[in-house]
Amino acid sequence: MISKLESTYRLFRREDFWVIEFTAMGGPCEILLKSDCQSEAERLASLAFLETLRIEQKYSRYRDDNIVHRINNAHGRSVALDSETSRLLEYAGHCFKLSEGLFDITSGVLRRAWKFQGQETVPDAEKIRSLLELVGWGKVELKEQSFRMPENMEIDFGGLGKEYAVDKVAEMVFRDSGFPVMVNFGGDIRALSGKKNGSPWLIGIENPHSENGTAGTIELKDGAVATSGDSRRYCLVAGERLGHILNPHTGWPVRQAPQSVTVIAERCTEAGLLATLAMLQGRDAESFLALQGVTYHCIR
Amino acid sequence: MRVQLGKVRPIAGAVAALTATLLGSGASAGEFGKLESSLLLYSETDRVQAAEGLVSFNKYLAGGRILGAKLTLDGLTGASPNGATPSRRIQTFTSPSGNGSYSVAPGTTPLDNTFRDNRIALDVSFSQPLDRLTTLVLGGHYSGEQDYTSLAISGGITRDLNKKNTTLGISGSYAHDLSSPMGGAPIPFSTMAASEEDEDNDEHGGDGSSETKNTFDVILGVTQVFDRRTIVRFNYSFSHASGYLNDPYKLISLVQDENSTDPGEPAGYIYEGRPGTRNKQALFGKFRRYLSGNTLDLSYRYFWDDWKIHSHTVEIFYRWQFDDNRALQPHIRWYRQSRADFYRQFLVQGTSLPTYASADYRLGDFDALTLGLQYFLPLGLGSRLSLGAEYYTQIGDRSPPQAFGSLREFDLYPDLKSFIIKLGFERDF
Repeated sequence: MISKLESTYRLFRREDFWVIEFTAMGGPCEILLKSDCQSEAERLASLAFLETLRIEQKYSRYRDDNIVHRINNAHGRSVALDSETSRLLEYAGHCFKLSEGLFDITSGVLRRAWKFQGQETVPDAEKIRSLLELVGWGKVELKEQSFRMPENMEIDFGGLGKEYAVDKVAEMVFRDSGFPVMVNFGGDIRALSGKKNGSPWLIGIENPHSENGTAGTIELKDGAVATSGDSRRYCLVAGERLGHILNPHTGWPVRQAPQSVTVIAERCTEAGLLATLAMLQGRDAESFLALQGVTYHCIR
Repeated sequence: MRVQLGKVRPIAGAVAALTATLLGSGASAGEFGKLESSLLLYSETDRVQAAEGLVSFNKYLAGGRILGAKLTLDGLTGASPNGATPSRRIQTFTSPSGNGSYSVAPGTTPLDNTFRDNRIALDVSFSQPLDRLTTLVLGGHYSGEQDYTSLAISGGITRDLNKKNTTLGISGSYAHDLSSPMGGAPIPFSTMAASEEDEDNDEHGGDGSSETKNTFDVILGVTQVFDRRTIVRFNYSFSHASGYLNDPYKLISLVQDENSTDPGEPAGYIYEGRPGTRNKQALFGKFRRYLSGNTLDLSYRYFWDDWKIHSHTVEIFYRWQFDDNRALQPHIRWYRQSRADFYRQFLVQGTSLPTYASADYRLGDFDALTLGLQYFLPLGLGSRLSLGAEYYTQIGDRSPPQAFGSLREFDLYPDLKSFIIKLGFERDF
């Protein structure tokens, strides 16, 4: 399957900044840029759009022409890595260790046993057990320029790729231009303003339970927001509502997890990772986040 | 089944450090290229038809450097006024090449229909930031036609001030042009034979050698951001040209005087003669305002030179940006020019010749109006298509007061109308 790329970007003026809009990473993408120069804005829009497409094409698991496909179809053979992919895999490995195995980019195969479309599900214990054989970062072999994993195992950057793209694009635009910028890919946000540059960006936090759909606004000058969780993706097991976050140790959805966790941190990638890890803590999500010393917002 | 929980412990510091390493190392270069191409078709009613193809490529490199190259190809064919006045009789002119002739019907503006040319032009540019606020731009230009070659180099510096709200720029260029007219450059005011039989009388002469022209240009500019929606730009430009500034194919009719038997009828044709230097100056102001996604552009230019030409240009663009990224951009341009002090639509036989004279309609008094509409359509994957049409009309003095005799019967400055269609394609990659 080829991801949808038929849209180009749209550039227009809103209040005192430029808005760059396009569709990528499975949803709406928006970049706000405080600059007065249209030609600069056009140049940076091209830069940001192309960088987003580059990351999406390179790390999407829905394509058959990228490094993720080569790794997942290597049948136990070693795959040569470029430096960017090598760094991302190394990062994923560190996160696996730090989370004591809860964050595992090989856990995606478990989705074959679960459908999160709101229906009553009777899990097939045998299937889960056989899939768990294919899960575990401990089984892979990562070297500086190559990667090898047992046949039928799969990796995916689903829990990392979008946040990484948000950081990359924001840092690229800011480093290149010096203009205050805010990148927002479907609610995963990174803002960079620099020390001298004026007013913060205003960001609304979604809350599906509240009347107007928001849980208030936060101000962000330099920093990031990421959200984990999707209240629409759940299944029912014996009447219990289970969210879509799967525990790689058990193969089961995490019980008593919040519907969504929003974390504010310096960079979007770490905010996203902390939010995912908090979800994986289930009922201990809030105490985990409190211990991390980050600003967060949980919806239960 | 009991869900096994990870031990709760602080890891945010380690995650932050790892993320900084992930993003900090091997910073993305931020490089991309922009390809622009266009095809332009130009059509003057009953006169010149031209086509122009253009391809340009800009490579945006890390560190703000920009490399650019542009290739332009022009093809031109059709008829262009040769400067002579209409007559009651058939007029016959020698072709610029000297071998052959063309005739024009009584009462019509003499047009040289042997006019044909192809041009190739290549531009290269390089832009390099010197520090956070200063950028150096260097450029080179070559263009070649059958009978004309131009080489130019340019350099400029821009400097941002006042938190990037003000940008100052200075740039200069030097061009060296080589003109090698078909049949050699005519001696100014030399007589052109009225027909082939008269060829012995053709003083056209010239030694067949090439003539050169040197041009120096300086532009001083300031761009000021007034508020978040308003940008204003001012330019002053000065240009000094010296050398061969004549149009080697333009003639002036030498008409019989008022007391002759045939007043106003041509007695002969002489080649034009212009001064050997020209100093041009211009002031340009542009105002741009963003109106909730749409853009308004107003500009005015005042031009004057030591040939005593003065001109005013007023131009308005409005860009309507639609929700789905399409845009519509109408524009209107008004131009008024006063003639060069040596502009003569004809000279009278028997009177003493002026020092300089040219009947080139482009040096006369005229008004011009351009109406245009351009449509922009996104094609996806960073590609954009544009389609534009323009209508241009130029109106001069059809019956100047100094006309007499048969000249009063004719349109001495026929209106010029032209249509332009432009198709453009742009792609980022």
